[in-house]
Amino acid sequence: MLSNQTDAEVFQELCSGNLLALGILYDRYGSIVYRLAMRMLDNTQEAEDLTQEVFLILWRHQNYDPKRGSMSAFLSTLTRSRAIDRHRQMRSQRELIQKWSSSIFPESRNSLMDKISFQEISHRVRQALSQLPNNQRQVLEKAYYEGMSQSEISQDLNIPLGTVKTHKRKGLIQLRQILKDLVESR
Amino acid sequence: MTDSHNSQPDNSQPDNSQPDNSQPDHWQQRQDLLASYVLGDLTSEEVTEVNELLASHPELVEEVKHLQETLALLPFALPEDEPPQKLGSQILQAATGISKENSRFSISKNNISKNNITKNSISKKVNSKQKIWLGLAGALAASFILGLGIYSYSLQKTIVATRNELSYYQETVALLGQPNNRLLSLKGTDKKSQATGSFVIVPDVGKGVLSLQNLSPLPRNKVYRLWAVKNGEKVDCGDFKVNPQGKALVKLPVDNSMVNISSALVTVEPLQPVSQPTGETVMKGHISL
Repeated sequence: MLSNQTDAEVFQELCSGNLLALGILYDRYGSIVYRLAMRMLDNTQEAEDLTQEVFLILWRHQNYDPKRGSMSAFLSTLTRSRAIDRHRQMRSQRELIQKWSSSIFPESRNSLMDKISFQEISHRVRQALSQLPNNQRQVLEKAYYEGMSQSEISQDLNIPLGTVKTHKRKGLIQLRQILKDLVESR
Repeated sequence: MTDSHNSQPDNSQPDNSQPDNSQPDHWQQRQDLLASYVLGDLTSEEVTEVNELLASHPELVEEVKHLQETLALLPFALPEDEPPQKLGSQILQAATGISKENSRFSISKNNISKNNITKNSISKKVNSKQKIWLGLAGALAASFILGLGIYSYSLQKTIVATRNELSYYQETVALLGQPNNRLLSLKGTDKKSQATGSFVIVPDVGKGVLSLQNLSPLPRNKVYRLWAVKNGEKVDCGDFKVNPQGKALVKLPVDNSMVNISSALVTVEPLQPVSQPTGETVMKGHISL
Protein backbone atom coordinates (compact mmCIF):
# COMPACT_ATOMS: atom_id res chain seq x y z
CA MET A 1 0.00 0.00 0.00
CA LEU A 2 1.37 3.38 -1.01
CA SER A 3 0.52 4.91 2.36
CA ASN A 4 2.97 2.56 4.07
CA GLN A 5 5.86 3.59 1.87
CA THR A 6 8.65 6.04 2.67
CA ASP A 7 8.43 9.67 1.59
CA ALA A 8 10.98 9.08 -1.14
CA GLU A 9 8.93 6.20 -2.58
CA VAL A 10 5.68 8.16 -2.39
CA PHE A 11 7.40 11.11 -4.04
CA GLN A 12 8.56 8.89 -6.89
CA GLU A 13 4.91 7.92 -7.44
CA LEU A 14 3.97 11.60 -7.43
CA CYS A 15 6.53 12.22 -10.18
CA SER A 16 4.81 9.62 -12.32
CA GLY A 17 1.58 11.63 -12.00
CA ASN A 18 -0.12 9.63 -9.26
CA LEU A 19 -2.48 12.03 -7.50
CA LEU A 20 -2.89 9.60 -4.61
CA ALA A 21 0.79 10.18 -3.79
CA LEU A 22 0.13 13.91 -3.43
CA GLY A 23 -2.78 13.08 -1.13
CA ILE A 24 -0.58 10.90 1.05
CA LEU A 25 2.13 13.54 1.36
CA TYR A 26 -0.57 16.06 2.23
CA ASP A 27 -1.85 13.72 4.95
CA ARG A 28 1.65 13.41 6.36
CA TYR A 29 2.75 17.04 6.20
CA GLY A 30 -0.37 19.14 5.57
CA SER A 31 -0.71 20.03 9.27
CA ILE A 32 2.89 21.11 9.70
CA VAL A 33 2.76 23.27 6.57
CA TYR A 34 -0.56 24.76 7.70
CA ARG A 35 0.69 25.45 11.23
CA LEU A 36 3.79 27.18 9.95
CA ALA A 37 1.67 29.18 7.50
CA MET A 38 -0.73 30.14 10.32
CA ARG A 39 2.14 31.24 12.56
CA MET A 40 3.72 33.33 9.84
CA LEU A 41 0.62 34.83 8.19
CA ASP A 42 -1.74 34.88 11.19
CA ASN A 43 -4.82 34.42 9.03
CA THR A 44 -6.68 31.16 8.36
CA GLN A 45 -7.61 31.99 4.76
CA GLU A 46 -4.06 32.99 3.87
CA ALA A 47 -2.70 29.92 5.64
CA GLU A 48 -5.03 27.66 3.61
CA ASP A 49 -3.99 29.40 0.38
CA LEU A 50 -0.32 29.04 1.20
CA THR A 51 -0.72 25.36 2.14
CA GLN A 52 -2.38 24.76 -1.22
CA GLU A 53 0.32 26.72 -3.01
CA VAL A 54 3.09 24.69 -1.37
CA PHE A 55 1.58 21.31 -2.30
CA LEU A 56 0.82 22.48 -5.82
CA ILE A 57 4.43 23.57 -6.25
CA LEU A 58 5.47 20.08 -5.20
CA TRP A 59 2.99 18.59 -7.70
CA ARG A 60 3.82 20.91 -10.56
CA HIS A 61 7.58 21.23 -10.22
CA GLN A 62 8.40 17.94 -8.52
CA ASN A 63 11.48 19.68 -7.24
CA TYR A 64 12.09 17.73 -4.04
CA ASP A 65 15.28 15.71 -4.02
CA PRO A 66 15.26 13.02 -1.30
CA LYS A 67 19.04 12.91 -1.40
CA ARG A 68 19.21 16.47 -0.18
CA GLY A 69 17.07 16.36 2.96
CA SER A 70 13.86 15.19 4.57
CA MET A 71 10.45 15.94 3.03
CA SER A 72 9.35 17.90 6.11
CA ALA A 73 12.48 20.09 5.94
CA PHE A 74 11.86 20.68 2.24
CA LEU A 75 8.21 21.62 2.76
CA SER A 76 8.86 23.84 5.75
CA THR A 77 11.66 25.68 3.92
CA LEU A 78 9.33 26.16 0.95
CA THR A 79 6.46 27.32 3.18
CA ARG A 80 8.71 29.70 5.00
CA SER A 81 10.14 31.32 1.92
CA ARG A 82 6.68 31.62 0.32
CA ALA A 83 5.29 33.17 3.50
CA ILE A 84 8.16 35.65 3.62
CA ASP A 85 7.50 36.29 -0.06
CA ARG A 86 3.96 37.30 0.83
CA HIS A 87 5.28 39.52 3.60
CA ARG A 88 7.75 40.99 1.19
CA GLN A 89 4.94 42.72 -0.62
CA MET A 90 4.88 44.91 2.46
CA ARG A 91 8.53 44.80 3.45
CA SER A 92 11.69 44.39 1.47
CA GLN A 93 13.02 41.00 2.45
CA ARG A 94 14.40 39.67 -0.81
CA GLU A 95 17.92 39.27 0.44
CA LEU A 96 16.78 37.30 3.42
CA ILE A 97 14.78 34.83 1.36
CA GLN A 98 17.69 34.23 -0.91
CA LYS A 99 19.95 33.64 2.02
CA TRP A 100 17.66 31.15 3.71
CA SER A 101 16.68 29.25 0.64
CA SER A 102 20.14 29.10 -0.89
CA SER A 103 21.40 26.84 1.86
CA ILE A 104 22.08 23.37 0.55
CA PHE A 105 20.39 20.15 1.53
CA PRO A 106 22.88 17.33 1.77
CA GLU A 107 22.03 13.66 1.67
CA SER A 108 19.45 12.13 3.96
CA ARG A 109 18.68 8.52 4.57
CA ASN A 110 15.07 8.26 5.55
CA SER A 111 12.07 9.96 6.94
CA LEU A 112 11.70 10.85 10.55
CA MET A 113 7.95 10.48 10.33
CA ASP A 114 8.36 6.77 9.66
CA LYS A 115 9.84 6.27 13.09
CA ILE A 116 8.25 8.51 15.63
CA SER A 117 4.82 10.01 15.95
CA PHE A 118 4.05 13.60 15.15
CA GLN A 119 2.85 14.19 18.72
CA GLU A 120 6.06 12.87 20.18
CA ILE A 121 8.17 15.11 17.95
CA SER A 122 6.06 18.13 18.91
CA HIS A 123 6.48 17.32 22.59
CA ARG A 124 10.24 16.91 22.23
CA VAL A 125 10.70 20.13 20.25
CA ARG A 126 8.59 22.15 22.72
CA GLN A 127 10.59 20.73 25.58
CA ALA A 128 13.86 21.54 23.80
CA LEU A 129 12.77 25.11 23.12
CA SER A 130 11.82 25.58 26.76
CA GLN A 131 15.37 24.61 27.73
CA LEU A 132 16.88 27.44 25.70
CA PRO A 133 17.63 30.73 27.42
CA ASN A 134 14.77 33.16 26.72
CA ASN A 135 16.82 35.57 24.62
CA GLN A 136 18.10 32.79 22.34
CA ARG A 137 14.62 31.41 21.79
CA GLN A 138 13.14 34.83 21.19
CA VAL A 139 15.78 35.79 18.60
CA LEU A 140 15.48 32.45 16.78
CA GLU A 141 11.69 32.71 16.64
CA LYS A 142 11.74 36.26 15.36
CA ALA A 143 14.18 35.31 12.63
CA TYR A 144 12.46 32.06 11.67
CA TYR A 145 8.77 32.86 11.94
CA GLU A 146 8.70 36.57 11.36
CA GLY A 147 11.49 36.63 8.79
CA MET A 148 13.12 39.50 10.64
CA SER A 149 16.66 40.45 9.67
CA GLN A 150 19.43 40.74 12.25
CA SER A 151 19.25 44.51 12.27
CA GLU A 152 15.47 44.47 12.65
CA ILE A 153 15.76 42.11 15.62
CA SER A 154 18.54 44.25 17.02
CA GLN A 155 16.30 47.33 16.86
CA ASP A 156 13.21 45.49 18.06
CA LEU A 157 14.87 44.03 21.14
CA ASN A 158 17.32 46.86 21.59
CA ILE A 159 20.39 44.62 21.68
CA PRO A 160 23.63 44.87 19.67
CA LEU A 161 23.75 43.24 16.24
CA GLY A 162 26.58 40.91 17.24
CA THR A 163 24.54 39.66 20.19
CA VAL A 164 21.59 38.88 17.91
CA LYS A 165 23.87 36.79 15.74
CA THR A 166 25.41 35.00 18.70
CA HIS A 167 22.01 34.25 20.29
CA LYS A 168 20.67 32.83 17.02
CA ARG A 169 23.71 30.67 16.49
CA LYS A 170 23.98 29.43 20.04
CA GLY A 171 20.26 28.73 20.18
CA LEU A 172 20.39 26.64 17.03
CA ILE A 173 23.46 24.70 18.15
CA GLN A 174 21.93 24.00 21.54
CA LEU A 175 18.69 22.80 19.95
CA ARG A 176 20.70 20.58 17.64
CA GLN A 177 22.39 19.04 20.71
CA ILE A 178 19.17 18.53 22.67
CA LEU A 179 17.38 17.03 19.65
CA LYS A 180 20.45 15.11 18.50
CA ASP A 181 18.70 11.75 18.09
CA LEU A 182 15.78 13.24 16.15
CA VAL A 183 17.99 15.34 13.92
CA GLU A 184 20.50 12.63 13.14
CA SER A 185 17.85 10.05 12.29
CA ARG A 186 16.35 12.24 9.58
CA MET B 1 35.48 36.68 9.24
CA THR B 2 32.39 36.24 11.39
CA ASP B 3 32.14 37.13 15.02
CA SER B 4 32.18 33.38 15.58
CA HIS B 5 35.92 33.58 15.11
CA ASN B 6 36.31 36.23 17.71
CA SER B 7 34.23 34.54 20.35
CA GLN B 8 35.98 32.33 22.82
CA PRO B 9 34.68 28.82 22.47
CA ASP B 10 33.44 27.21 25.63
CA ASN B 11 35.36 23.97 25.73
CA SER B 12 34.46 22.97 29.25
CA GLN B 13 32.24 20.22 27.85
CA PRO B 14 33.81 18.93 24.67
CA ASP B 15 31.39 16.79 22.70
CA ASN B 16 33.34 13.67 21.97
CA SER B 17 30.75 12.36 19.56
CA GLN B 18 31.53 15.09 17.05
CA PRO B 19 34.00 14.56 14.24
CA ASP B 20 37.45 15.95 14.77
CA ASN B 21 37.24 15.36 18.51
CA SER B 22 40.98 15.79 18.87
CA GLN B 23 40.38 19.53 18.47
CA PRO B 24 37.20 20.49 20.24
CA ASP B 25 37.97 24.25 19.94
CA HIS B 26 38.41 23.94 16.25
CA TRP B 27 35.22 21.91 15.93
CA GLN B 28 33.22 24.40 17.92
CA GLN B 29 34.45 27.29 15.81
CA ARG B 30 33.44 25.43 12.72
CA GLN B 31 30.05 24.53 14.14
CA ASP B 32 29.51 28.21 14.97
CA LEU B 33 30.38 29.12 11.42
CA LEU B 34 28.09 26.45 9.97
CA ALA B 35 25.23 27.51 12.24
CA SER B 36 25.53 31.10 10.98
CA TYR B 37 25.68 29.69 7.46
CA VAL B 38 22.46 27.74 7.92
CA LEU B 39 20.82 30.76 9.55
CA GLY B 40 21.74 32.92 6.56
CA ASP B 41 23.84 35.26 8.70
CA LEU B 42 27.02 35.26 6.63
CA THR B 43 28.19 37.74 4.03
CA SER B 44 28.43 36.48 0.46
CA GLU B 45 32.24 36.21 0.76
CA GLU B 46 31.84 34.12 3.89
CA VAL B 47 29.28 31.93 2.14
CA THR B 48 31.73 31.30 -0.69
CA GLU B 49 34.37 30.41 1.86
CA VAL B 50 32.04 27.96 3.62
CA ASN B 51 31.05 26.39 0.30
CA GLU B 52 34.72 25.76 -0.41
CA LEU B 53 35.20 24.31 3.06
CA LEU B 54 32.20 22.00 2.54
CA ALA B 55 33.52 20.82 -0.81
CA SER B 56 36.67 19.55 0.87
CA HIS B 57 35.11 18.31 4.16
CA PRO B 58 32.19 15.89 3.70
CA GLU B 59 31.76 15.53 7.49
CA LEU B 60 30.92 19.22 7.65
CA VAL B 61 28.28 18.77 4.96
CA GLU B 62 26.66 16.26 7.30
CA GLU B 63 26.72 18.82 10.11
CA VAL B 64 25.08 21.44 7.87
CA LYS B 65 22.36 18.93 7.18
CA HIS B 66 21.83 18.33 10.90
CA LEU B 67 21.60 22.06 11.59
CA GLN B 68 19.11 22.51 8.74
CA GLU B 69 17.01 19.63 10.01
CA THR B 70 17.11 21.17 13.51
CA LEU B 71 15.73 24.41 12.13
CA ALA B 72 13.08 22.51 10.20
CA LEU B 73 11.88 20.97 13.49
CA LEU B 74 10.84 24.37 14.85
CA PRO B 75 7.33 24.31 13.32
CA PHE B 76 6.59 21.11 15.25
CA ALA B 77 6.46 23.21 18.42
CA LEU B 78 3.65 25.41 17.07
CA PRO B 79 0.07 25.27 18.38
CA GLU B 80 -1.83 22.32 16.98
CA ASP B 81 -3.93 24.12 14.39
CA GLU B 82 -5.46 21.72 11.91
CA PRO B 83 -6.27 22.70 8.35
CA PRO B 84 -10.00 22.38 7.51
CA GLN B 85 -11.07 18.90 6.38
CA LYS B 86 -11.89 20.06 2.87
CA LEU B 87 -8.39 21.41 2.15
CA GLY B 88 -6.91 18.03 1.16
CA SER B 89 -9.46 17.32 -1.57
CA GLN B 90 -9.39 20.98 -2.63
CA ILE B 91 -5.65 20.72 -3.27
CA LEU B 92 -6.09 17.48 -5.21
CA GLN B 93 -8.82 19.13 -7.31
CA ALA B 94 -6.51 22.04 -8.06
CA ALA B 95 -3.72 19.57 -8.91
CA THR B 96 -6.10 17.88 -11.38
CA GLY B 97 -6.55 21.29 -13.01
CA ILE B 98 -2.80 21.64 -13.37
CA SER B 99 -2.53 18.22 -15.00
CA LYS B 100 -5.31 19.12 -17.48
CA GLU B 101 -3.60 22.41 -18.30
CA ASN B 102 -0.38 20.55 -18.94
CA SER B 103 -2.00 18.03 -21.25
CA ARG B 104 -3.91 20.77 -23.14
CA PHE B 105 -0.67 22.67 -23.47
CA SER B 106 1.10 19.67 -24.87
CA ILE B 107 -1.75 19.09 -27.37
CA SER B 108 -1.66 22.66 -28.66
CA LYS B 109 2.12 22.50 -28.90
CA ASN B 110 1.71 19.31 -30.83
CA ASN B 111 -0.86 21.01 -33.05
CA ILE B 112 1.34 23.98 -33.89
CA SER B 113 4.39 21.95 -34.73
CA LYS B 114 2.36 19.52 -36.84
CA ASN B 115 0.75 22.41 -38.74
CA ASN B 116 4.13 23.86 -39.55
CA ILE B 117 5.45 20.65 -40.90
CA THR B 118 2.34 19.50 -42.78
CA LYS B 119 1.21 22.74 -44.44
CA ASN B 120 1.29 21.24 -47.93
CA SER B 121 0.38 17.69 -47.27
CA ILE B 122 -3.31 16.67 -47.03
CA SER B 123 -2.63 13.15 -45.98
CA LYS B 124 -0.37 14.29 -43.24
CA LYS B 125 -3.00 16.85 -42.14
CA VAL B 126 -5.50 14.06 -41.63
CA ASN B 127 -2.91 12.22 -39.73
CA SER B 128 -2.34 15.29 -37.63
CA LYS B 129 -6.08 15.68 -36.93
CA GLN B 130 -6.25 12.09 -35.84
CA LYS B 131 -3.41 12.75 -33.50
CA ILE B 132 -5.22 15.74 -32.02
CA TRP B 133 -8.28 13.59 -31.41
CA LEU B 134 -6.09 10.93 -29.90
CA GLY B 135 -4.49 13.62 -27.80
CA LEU B 136 -7.91 14.82 -26.62
CA ALA B 137 -8.95 11.28 -25.83
CA GLY B 138 -5.71 10.92 -23.92
CA ALA B 139 -6.43 14.09 -21.97
CA LEU B 140 -9.93 12.86 -21.16
CA ALA B 141 -8.51 9.54 -20.03
CA ALA B 142 -5.94 11.39 -17.96
CA SER B 143 -8.61 13.47 -16.23
CA PHE B 144 -10.64 10.32 -15.62
CA ILE B 145 -7.60 8.71 -14.05
CA LEU B 146 -7.03 11.82 -11.95
CA GLY B 147 -10.67 11.67 -10.88
CA LEU B 148 -10.07 8.11 -9.84
CA GLY B 149 -6.99 9.38 -8.01
CA ILE B 150 -9.12 11.70 -5.88
CA TYR B 151 -11.62 8.93 -5.25
CA SER B 152 -8.97 6.44 -4.27
CA TYR B 153 -7.31 9.11 -2.13
CA SER B 154 -10.43 9.57 -0.02
CA LEU B 155 -11.02 5.83 0.06
CA GLN B 156 -7.47 5.11 1.09
CA LYS B 157 -7.68 7.84 3.70
CA THR B 158 -10.71 6.16 5.25
CA ILE B 159 -9.06 2.75 5.15
CA VAL B 160 -5.85 4.02 6.73
CA ALA B 161 -7.76 5.93 9.41
CA THR B 162 -9.90 2.91 10.24
CA ARG B 163 -6.92 0.61 10.27
CA ASN B 164 -4.93 2.93 12.54
CA GLU B 165 -7.88 3.29 14.87
CA LEU B 166 -8.37 -0.45 15.02
CA SER B 167 -4.75 -1.21 15.73
CA TYR B 168 -4.70 1.54 18.36
CA TYR B 169 -7.64 -0.07 20.14
CA GLN B 170 -6.11 -3.53 19.79
CA GLU B 171 -2.82 -2.37 21.29
CA THR B 172 -4.68 -0.59 24.09
CA VAL B 173 -6.73 -3.67 24.91
CA ALA B 174 -3.53 -5.75 24.94
CA LEU B 175 -2.00 -3.29 27.40
CA LEU B 176 -4.99 -3.54 29.69
CA GLY B 177 -4.46 -7.31 29.92
CA GLN B 178 -0.94 -7.05 31.39
CA PRO B 179 -0.46 -8.69 34.83
CA ASN B 180 1.15 -5.93 36.95
CA ASN B 181 -1.13 -3.05 36.01
CA ARG B 182 -2.20 -0.39 38.45
CA LEU B 183 -5.39 1.59 38.14
CA LEU B 184 -5.92 5.17 39.11
CA SER B 185 -9.41 6.62 38.80
CA LEU B 186 -9.82 10.32 38.07
CA LYS B 187 -12.69 12.73 38.71
CA GLY B 188 -13.40 16.37 37.94
CA THR B 189 -12.37 18.70 40.80
CA ASP B 190 -15.20 21.16 40.22
CA LYS B 191 -18.52 20.10 41.76
CA LYS B 192 -20.31 20.81 38.51
CA SER B 193 -17.77 18.88 36.46
CA GLN B 194 -18.95 15.63 34.89
CA ALA B 195 -15.39 14.64 33.98
CA THR B 196 -14.42 11.06 34.82
CA GLY B 197 -11.72 8.71 33.69
CA SER B 198 -8.91 6.37 34.55
CA PHE B 199 -5.20 6.03 34.14
CA VAL B 200 -3.88 2.49 33.89
CA ILE B 201 -0.15 2.13 34.48
CA VAL B 202 1.36 -0.79 32.60
CA PRO B 203 4.83 -1.09 34.12
CA ASP B 204 5.72 -4.19 32.08
CA VAL B 205 5.82 -2.22 28.85
CA GLY B 206 6.51 1.26 30.23
CA LYS B 207 3.20 2.74 29.14
CA GLY B 208 0.15 4.26 30.71
CA VAL B 209 -3.30 4.31 29.17
CA LEU B 210 -5.36 7.39 29.96
CA SER B 211 -9.05 7.32 29.18
CA LEU B 212 -11.19 10.33 30.00
CA GLN B 213 -14.57 11.77 29.18
CA ASN B 214 -16.59 14.97 29.66
CA LEU B 215 -13.67 17.37 29.61
CA SER B 216 -14.11 20.58 27.61
CA PRO B 217 -12.01 20.99 24.45
CA LEU B 218 -9.29 23.62 24.99
CA PRO B 219 -8.18 26.65 22.94
CA ARG B 220 -5.35 25.91 20.54
CA ASN B 221 -2.58 27.30 22.71
CA LYS B 222 -3.44 25.12 25.71
CA VAL B 223 -3.13 21.44 26.52
CA TYR B 224 -4.24 19.15 29.30
CA ARG B 225 -1.28 17.76 31.19
CA LEU B 226 -1.27 14.69 33.42
CA TRP B 227 0.89 14.84 36.56
CA ALA B 228 1.72 11.85 38.75
CA VAL B 229 2.40 12.50 42.42
CA LYS B 230 5.38 10.49 43.60
CA ASN B 231 6.87 10.99 47.09
CA GLY B 232 5.06 14.32 47.25
CA GLU B 233 6.54 15.51 43.97
CA LYS B 234 4.57 16.13 40.80
CA VAL B 235 6.00 14.51 37.69
CA ASP B 236 4.97 15.53 34.15
CA CYS B 237 3.51 12.44 32.43
CA GLY B 238 2.57 14.03 29.14
CA ASP B 239 0.09 16.21 27.29
CA PHE B 240 -3.17 15.40 25.62
CA LYS B 241 -6.18 17.02 24.00
CA VAL B 242 -9.78 15.87 23.99
CA ASN B 243 -11.94 15.41 20.91
CA PRO B 244 -14.97 17.65 20.25
CA GLN B 245 -17.06 15.17 22.29
CA GLY B 246 -14.78 15.80 25.26
CA LYS B 247 -13.15 12.36 25.21
CA ALA B 248 -9.52 11.27 25.19
CA LEU B 249 -7.84 7.90 24.88
CA VAL B 250 -4.08 8.25 24.90
CA LYS B 251 -1.03 6.18 25.63
CA LEU B 252 1.70 7.95 27.56
CA PRO B 253 5.20 6.74 28.33
CA VAL B 254 5.81 5.86 32.01
CA ASP B 255 8.85 4.50 33.81
CA ASN B 256 9.12 1.82 36.49
CA SER B 257 9.06 4.28 39.34
CA MET B 258 5.48 5.15 38.39
CA VAL B 259 4.33 1.97 40.08
CA ASN B 260 4.86 3.82 43.34
CA ILE B 261 2.73 6.85 42.60
CA SER B 262 0.02 7.71 45.09
CA SER B 263 -2.16 10.05 43.09
CA ALA B 264 -2.40 12.05 39.89
CA LEU B 265 -3.90 15.25 38.60
CA VAL B 266 -4.84 16.85 35.30
CA THR B 267 -4.13 20.55 34.77
CA VAL B 268 -4.59 23.02 31.93
CA GLU B 269 -1.18 24.21 30.76
CA PRO B 270 0.48 26.23 27.99
CA LEU B 271 2.10 24.22 25.18
CA GLN B 272 5.57 24.73 26.63
CA PRO B 273 6.63 22.27 29.31
CA VAL B 274 6.73 23.64 32.86
CA SER B 275 8.46 22.01 35.79
CA GLN B 276 5.43 22.38 38.08
CA PRO B 277 1.71 22.74 37.32
CA THR B 278 0.84 26.37 36.64
CA GLY B 279 -2.74 26.12 35.44
CA GLU B 280 -6.09 25.14 36.86
CA THR B 281 -6.41 21.58 38.20
CA VAL B 282 -9.42 20.05 36.47
CA MET B 283 -9.18 16.42 37.61
CA LYS B 284 -7.72 14.49 40.52
CA GLY B 285 -7.47 10.86 41.42
CA HIS B 286 -5.91 8.22 43.65
CA ILE B 287 -4.60 4.74 43.11
CA SER B 288 -7.56 2.46 43.45
CA LEU B 289 -6.11 -0.91 42.41
